[in-house]
Amino acid sequence: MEKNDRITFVLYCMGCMFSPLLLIVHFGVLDSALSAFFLLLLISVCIYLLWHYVKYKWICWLILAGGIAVVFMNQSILIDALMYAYNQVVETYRQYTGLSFQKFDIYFSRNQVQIEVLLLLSLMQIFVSEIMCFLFDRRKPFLIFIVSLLLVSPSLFFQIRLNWILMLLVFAFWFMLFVTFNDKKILIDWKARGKQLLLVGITVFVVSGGFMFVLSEARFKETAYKPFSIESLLDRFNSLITFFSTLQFDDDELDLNLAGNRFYTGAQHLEVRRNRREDLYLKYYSGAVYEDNSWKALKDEAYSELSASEFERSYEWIVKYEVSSVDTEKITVTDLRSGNVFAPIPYYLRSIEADYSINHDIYIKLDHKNDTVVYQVWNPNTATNNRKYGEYINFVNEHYLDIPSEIQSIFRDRMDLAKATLSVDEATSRILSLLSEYRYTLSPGATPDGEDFLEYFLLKNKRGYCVHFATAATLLFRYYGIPARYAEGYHIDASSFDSYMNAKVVDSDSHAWVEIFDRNYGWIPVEVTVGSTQGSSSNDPEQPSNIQNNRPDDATNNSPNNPSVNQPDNTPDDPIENGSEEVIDRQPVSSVLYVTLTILVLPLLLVIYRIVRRRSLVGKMSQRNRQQAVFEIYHYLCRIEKYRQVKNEKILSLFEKNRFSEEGLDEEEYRIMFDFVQASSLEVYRSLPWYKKMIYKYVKCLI
Amino acid sequence: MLARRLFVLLLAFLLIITFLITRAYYLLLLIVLLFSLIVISVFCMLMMYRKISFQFLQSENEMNLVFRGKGFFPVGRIKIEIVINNLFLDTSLSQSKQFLVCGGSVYIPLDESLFHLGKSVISIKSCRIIDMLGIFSKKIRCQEKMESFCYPYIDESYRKLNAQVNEKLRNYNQQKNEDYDIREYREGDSVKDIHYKVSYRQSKLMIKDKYKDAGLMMKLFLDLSGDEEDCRQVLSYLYQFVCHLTIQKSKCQVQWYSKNKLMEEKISDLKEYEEALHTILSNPKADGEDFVHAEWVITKMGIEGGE
Repeated sequence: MEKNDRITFVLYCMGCMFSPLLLIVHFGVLDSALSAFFLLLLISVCIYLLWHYVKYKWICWLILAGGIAVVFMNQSILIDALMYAYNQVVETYRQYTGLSFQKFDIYFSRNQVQIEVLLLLSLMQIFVSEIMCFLFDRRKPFLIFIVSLLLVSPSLFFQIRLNWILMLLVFAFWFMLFVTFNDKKILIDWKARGKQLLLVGITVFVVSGGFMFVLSEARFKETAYKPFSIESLLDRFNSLITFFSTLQFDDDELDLNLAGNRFYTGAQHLEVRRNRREDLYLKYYSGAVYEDNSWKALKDEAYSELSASEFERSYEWIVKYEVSSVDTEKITVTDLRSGNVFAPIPYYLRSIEADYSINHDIYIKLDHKNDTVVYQVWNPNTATNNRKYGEYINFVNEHYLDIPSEIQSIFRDRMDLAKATLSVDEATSRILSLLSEYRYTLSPGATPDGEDFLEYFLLKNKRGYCVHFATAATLLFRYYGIPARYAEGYHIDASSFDSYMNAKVVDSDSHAWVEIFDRNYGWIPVEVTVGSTQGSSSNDPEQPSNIQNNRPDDATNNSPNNPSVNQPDNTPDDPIENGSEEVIDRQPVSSVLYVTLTILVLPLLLVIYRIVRRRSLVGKMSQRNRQQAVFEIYHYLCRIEKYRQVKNEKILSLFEKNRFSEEGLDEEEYRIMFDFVQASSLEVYRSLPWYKKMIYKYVKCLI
Repeated sequence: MLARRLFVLLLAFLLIITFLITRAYYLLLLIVLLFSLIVISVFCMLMMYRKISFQFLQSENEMNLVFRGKGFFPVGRIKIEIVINNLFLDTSLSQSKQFLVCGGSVYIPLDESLFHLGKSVISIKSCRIIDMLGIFSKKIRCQEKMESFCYPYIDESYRKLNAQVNEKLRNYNQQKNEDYDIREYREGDSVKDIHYKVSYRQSKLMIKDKYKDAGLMMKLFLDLSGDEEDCRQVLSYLYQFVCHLTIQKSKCQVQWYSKNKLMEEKISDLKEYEEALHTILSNPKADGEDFVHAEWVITKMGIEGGE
């Protein structure tokens, strides 16, 4: 055997032996691993010698055919052995991974099983050895790696205790294969190759030894199931999604044109803790004026009508502390959203234990957003000594009953709704009855350009989600003489709170509803989104604890926070419908679009720069003043020469002639120079590595 | 190498993702091993060679480029691009070679077909050290140039005296020999050269003074405008001609065109022949079919002239 062949032989033995041996030792199909080792080695060596040193190659194929014949002739024995091996494998996986598979109900005597398994193993080793010989001859290291990996991979991917020596040997074998990859064009010296493989082997064992000493398998298992890496990655991913999805909400206007198809990622927005397991509404925005397909805040001038005292006490529209209540509660909210966002606040606020700034009666912003904020809320059912609002009631009646005239005409003329002043209950009942004819869906499509958002929903599309229903209901309440405004925030279902009364509020908990004004309680929420009849039940399987459960038939909601009847809104705001169409949230899409455009614009600018510069350069080299043109050519060649020498004697003599002679160069000589510089530039460009080519072409513009 | 880099990158990415999903201990170990090997491989590459040299060794049957380098724990391989410029045929061939290094000398066999008739200058255009894993490489400077001569193979048929040419040469020499001067005998002159008839007439000893020392300087022109095989034949005929000259103790002045430049050398023996051959093979052969009138002309067809 030649010296170079010995290395191949060693690699071949490693490939044939280690993976099967790992399986034998790990799954315990044979009593003695040592006997298995010798058996496998013997078969592998014999096959190798037959394959390479026997004159008649067909002997190897004969052995293979013989193996196949033995398989067919001893089917029952081999099936028994396979069933036994299968049971052993399944049992091992059950011990380590908890996965249970059905076993074969068989019984063998110990000796019988060992003999049968030996036969099975021998046949398997013949096949594996012949395959390896074939692959080694054809120099297919990647396929060799795949064959070896297939035998090992199931055990490798699970947290199963493996024989570490064999595992390291398999790793060493794989790295040695990688080093010998693509050996076809290389002059191999067996000493050099042996040195390389030895270095690989030593490195594998030394590094592995050090690693195992520092982080043993047992210690790793203790920490492995703590959410260290995946959770932190997911947290970062959540923040990124939240950042993009909350970017648009940074001013006083809510653009309803963006309320197209909705898509949820399950990104966490808030963490909430409270004492009572009840539904909770957290509002961060209220819209007062419906105009141009958007909800806007009242202008500052409107607030100047309020008296100074009422204005100074404007915080009472958000926080009312002059309420005595037997039943108060602390609600703790941690805001995980990025960006300059408004604070989500509960209703019936008594106090906010944080520094904040208030924007009239629309929203508040915390000075330190990411801090955990404690809100004290009072229970309206047990409140006493509740001071009524003063001038603010008039202010509300004046400004929160406005409906655009075109909307009025839609209600009156096209929907045949008689204008009347109704009580809250009557209005609520009528509005819910009307809206029940509309279909709830998370993919209603975007409002076409030029169309009114509400008109399109009420008269044409007739389907939408909470934003559509809340907008319609707000204007209907106003139509029926009840001051109302549009509110956005989060609706946390009672079932979202775990045993510690903590709830993770995700993007799918975002919700819109209507607020109506009560003289004693201030603005109170009214749920108007009619539940979906489909009853989608598709929770995200990866985050079962985070997304609220579907309750398609939830018809009761008598939480004190919701004095009006609430129909199942939980279901409609769940993230994914069954068999849902592809939905894309416009909000991150627009942001992604801006980023994509920015990325595309930069190369475009680079291309334009190159075109302009090249034209200028070629123009200079082809100018009518041939003497000057040759100077430019010379300068151009000097710049190319920084990469590689290109000038030759003939060109230099032409340059000198141009410089020193009176008549200069004639047209033919100039043409020679010009063609030469073009050809040289191309030649140099082709000889450069790819990153230098980029610089050559787009920065230096030399080609 | 780009494919290897992409493969390693993809492998690392897949391993990390799989580890994050499965949290298997041995996958983590595999990732650590992968990065460790990359680091060690790069380190070895950077420490590998500071100074390298090449030497060209030519023997009867083979041509080898010998690599020698001094370095610290060399593992990895070297990729060189060899350029062979043939000065006689004015051609340039390049070949890329890769070989593993192990600390000692490495003999790199070169293909004989790269070497053609004439003087070849072997230079190393580029030299790169590649690490063990084949992912990273480092360029090192190597400006060595080596020379090799490929002399025309003179087969047996040219070594024998060509009777026809021999006859021509002899007649030519004889003709030259018949041209002589008559002068008075001086001490030391050969008695064989005494011209008796003239001596009788002059009543003193007179001898024939032949142009021996002035030499029978024949002018010979070589037509090297053909291809390699034609040139080889011409040079083979030249060898044959020189053999005749040495036998007959004559001299010749050989002329040939190197590109458009007329060159000449004097040959009186085989040693001068070798020097002339050296000069011929070290310069480019003729471009066109320029011709100089000479007494003898050697073309691919044979030796002509002598009239």
